[in-house]
Amino acid sequence: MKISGEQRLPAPRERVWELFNDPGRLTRLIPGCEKLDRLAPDEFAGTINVGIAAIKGAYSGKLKLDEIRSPEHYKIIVDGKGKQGFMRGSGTLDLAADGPREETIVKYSGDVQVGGPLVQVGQRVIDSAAKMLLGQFFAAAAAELKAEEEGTIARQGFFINLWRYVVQLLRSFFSRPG
Amino acid sequence: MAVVPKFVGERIKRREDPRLITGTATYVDDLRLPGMLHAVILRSPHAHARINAIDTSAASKAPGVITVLTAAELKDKIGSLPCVAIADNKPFHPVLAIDKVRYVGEPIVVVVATDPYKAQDGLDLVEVDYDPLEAVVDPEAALEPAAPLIHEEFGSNLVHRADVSSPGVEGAMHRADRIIKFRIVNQRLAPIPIEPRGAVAQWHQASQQLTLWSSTQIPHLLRSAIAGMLKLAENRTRVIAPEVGGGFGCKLNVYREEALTAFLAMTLKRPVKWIERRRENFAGTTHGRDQIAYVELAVRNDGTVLAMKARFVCDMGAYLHLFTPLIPGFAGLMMTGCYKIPAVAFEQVMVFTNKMATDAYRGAGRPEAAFIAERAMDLVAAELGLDPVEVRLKNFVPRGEFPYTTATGLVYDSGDYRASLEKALANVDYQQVRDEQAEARKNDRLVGVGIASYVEICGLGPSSMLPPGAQGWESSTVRIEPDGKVSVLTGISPHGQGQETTFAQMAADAFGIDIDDITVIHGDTAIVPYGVGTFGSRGLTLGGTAMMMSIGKLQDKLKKIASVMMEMPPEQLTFHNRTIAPSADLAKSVPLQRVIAAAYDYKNPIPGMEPGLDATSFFEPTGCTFPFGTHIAVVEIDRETGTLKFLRYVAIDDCGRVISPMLAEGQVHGGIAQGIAQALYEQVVYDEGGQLLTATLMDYAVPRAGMLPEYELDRTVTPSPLNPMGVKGVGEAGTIGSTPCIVNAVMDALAPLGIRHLDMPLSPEKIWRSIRDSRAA
Repeated sequence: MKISGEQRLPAPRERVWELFNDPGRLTRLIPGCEKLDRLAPDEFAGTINVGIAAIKGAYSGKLKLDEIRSPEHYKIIVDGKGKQGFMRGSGTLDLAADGPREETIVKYSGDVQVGGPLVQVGQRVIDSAAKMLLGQFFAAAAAELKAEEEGTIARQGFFINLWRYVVQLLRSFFSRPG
Repeated sequence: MAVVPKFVGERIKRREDPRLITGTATYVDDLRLPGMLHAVILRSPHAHARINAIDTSAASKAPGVITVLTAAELKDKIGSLPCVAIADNKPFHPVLAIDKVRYVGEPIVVVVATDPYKAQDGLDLVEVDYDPLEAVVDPEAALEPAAPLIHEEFGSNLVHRADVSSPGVEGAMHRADRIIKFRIVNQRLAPIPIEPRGAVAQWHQASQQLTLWSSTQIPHLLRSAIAGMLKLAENRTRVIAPEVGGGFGCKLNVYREEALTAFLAMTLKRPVKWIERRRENFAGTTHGRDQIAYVELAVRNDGTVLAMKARFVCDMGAYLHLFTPLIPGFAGLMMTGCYKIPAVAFEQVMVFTNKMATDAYRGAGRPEAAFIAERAMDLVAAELGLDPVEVRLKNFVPRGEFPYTTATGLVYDSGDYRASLEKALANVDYQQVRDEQAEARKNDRLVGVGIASYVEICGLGPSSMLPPGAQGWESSTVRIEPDGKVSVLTGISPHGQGQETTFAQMAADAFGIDIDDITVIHGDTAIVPYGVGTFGSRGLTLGGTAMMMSIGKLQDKLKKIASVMMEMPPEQLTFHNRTIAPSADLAKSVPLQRVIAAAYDYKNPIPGMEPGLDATSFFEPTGCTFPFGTHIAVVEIDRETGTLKFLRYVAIDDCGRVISPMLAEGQVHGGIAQGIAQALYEQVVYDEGGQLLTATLMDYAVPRAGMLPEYELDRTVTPSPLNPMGVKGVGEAGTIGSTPCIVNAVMDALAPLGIRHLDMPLSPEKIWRSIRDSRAA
């Protein structure tokens, strides 16, 4: 499964970088994430709950960061498995400062191999499921950064981020040029 | 005066059906034995990986779990699964993966518990540490020198290379007006019996005997294999095939779970049950087809095919099952179809890949062959601007040349291919169909007519043509019980074919009794004589002939007893309406029951004759039978969506003499459905990493009734000279004719757009894309 995309986050690049290196906050932002612990400066271990079609289950695994160039780039290597399959692969994350409002454009791309029952049952929906989870994550991250800017704390959770994601989708749909 | 058969040739309702439609049949999963345990299997999520470690400690302590086994505990205790086909490179085929997994779904660990849910909960606690390896999925890529090795010990992924060639191929290639080349793919298919596999094993400690119930097509071959793998004596091993809900070739095999279940029952001293789930069936039960063929035809401008050459790349999967490397051979040997092509050469390269093994699937090699031959005829017609009918008529083996020896050395027993084609043309009204097509084309409608004339090979034998360990004969015991009822014991193992009906029809007529007086018993190695089983349309041709041989022995004996009673030579006697009577005067009869009683009561011994009425026969055929037929389809393609509409489907099948017309038609119905499924819907898909993407019935398109045409069936009857009934077999015919017929129809519909060939399955998306691309060009 190949994933790539681009998202705009309403905060300067350094703050986005900080967020993306903070397991505590990431745990709240990643949909289904139960825990994310830093094992070494560039290594994390975590557990995530994912349900696709009839295949629901917990996956635990390791994240390793490589090619770190603060505050603009890192590579993530993922190796996770659960009762219903496995996910292995790598991706890159690039942060670019953009515009006078000091926003950040996040570019990501990755190639993940998914295997086992997870893909046997869920393969028809796995791409859109991945897109949706990523969308939720970025919606959550945007809310988090905005709230910090305003000195408040954003509410995080599966349903609120799903809602944020849907709102964002609708907005992008209606603001499409032409 | 000849006695008119009362049951043979009649539309007799299937005697199997009442128990099936009232839910009173007993399948493997219906068995409940006291103290029975349940096994579930942990399967590899990886297509190719090294197993570093397996931790079963938590699973072993889980509630209800009795035992957890890995390959380590089975070392030297269970032998390799057998493969009787010839191959240079045969790997050890373990019941649980040793050190490495080679396909998604390969069994690694078995957990046994007091109920299946506890077993599954225990299984979830097993931890396997894998080191994933690069997988190779494309059989052509697997042959590259740099390809990852699936079995390191062979140094390459080659299973076997076979070359067959007749003289004169190169000369014909030079002499030809033109050479037509094409690439044909027979995609990988899943057989999908409605009942998945399953096994129950019980060890009888007192008598030191094993009983294994399995959903199998071959109880005796399975018994020999299991006894061999577990070092048991065959007379202490009993295999029972209870009700079996379809097989289509995938149960013509010996599986890891059968040996494992038997081993568990023996070691735990308790009955053990394992039932396959649908996803396991997709991943861990043999697939069919999966061949790429590069074909070259030497053709004269009048449409005559002078020679045929092909190179096959055949995907065997990761291990060799019972007949895996044997199946492609039929595709090569039969690829000239009904045509008199004097020079033939083919090379077959069989390859390991990180996928489930392929093996027999309804037709087993002949659908692949018919697809090549029938696409060839249409491509010749298209290239030369001839009618496909004309090209076929020009190349058919003429009706006067049977028995006909093909360039590949097969002997076609009997046939009349022209009569079959002509009948199909008449039934579809060919000229009118073509006129309507021309009219439709004027209105830009994409209407196509597809023809396929097939010949196939059934009742494989003699045994000498098969590899060591595979037999061509079949057995039967017929016993007339003291009360006059007849028990027919057969070595075949019907699983939907309906021989409890057809065999009873024949036996009832032979003894002049009622069909309800006959019981057909099969599928239990402790009861029926050693037999080979049901596959390759051999049930009636070989099993039926064996039964008729036993019936003949008993008829002779009864006539001999009656001749003493009636003081009349036995040759003048016949069986009629529960009597034995002189053929010349049926009224002067003795009741059959009196003759039967004389054989059992034996108060008046007949010199040289033993008491009782029990005869066993083994029929070894002298050759194979070659059923044939012609199918014609008319279809229309929607330009905007690529969807297909069936307008007509006419099939003429010739399976020799027909014993039970309703069952023969049923076989053709189901066969056409499965053949159309290959043409239009089905394909087993693995992604490039070896992950199985079609593992549910949501993803693998088995057709529903609405996705199939209305069948217009008819037949010609060309008896086989190789058995006394003149029968040929009909179990696979429909599957073989329908696939090329539908593909030819679709390609004919798309011909005005300049589209020459598309690979199956011809999904609306694929057709739509080709229409779009043709517009762009």
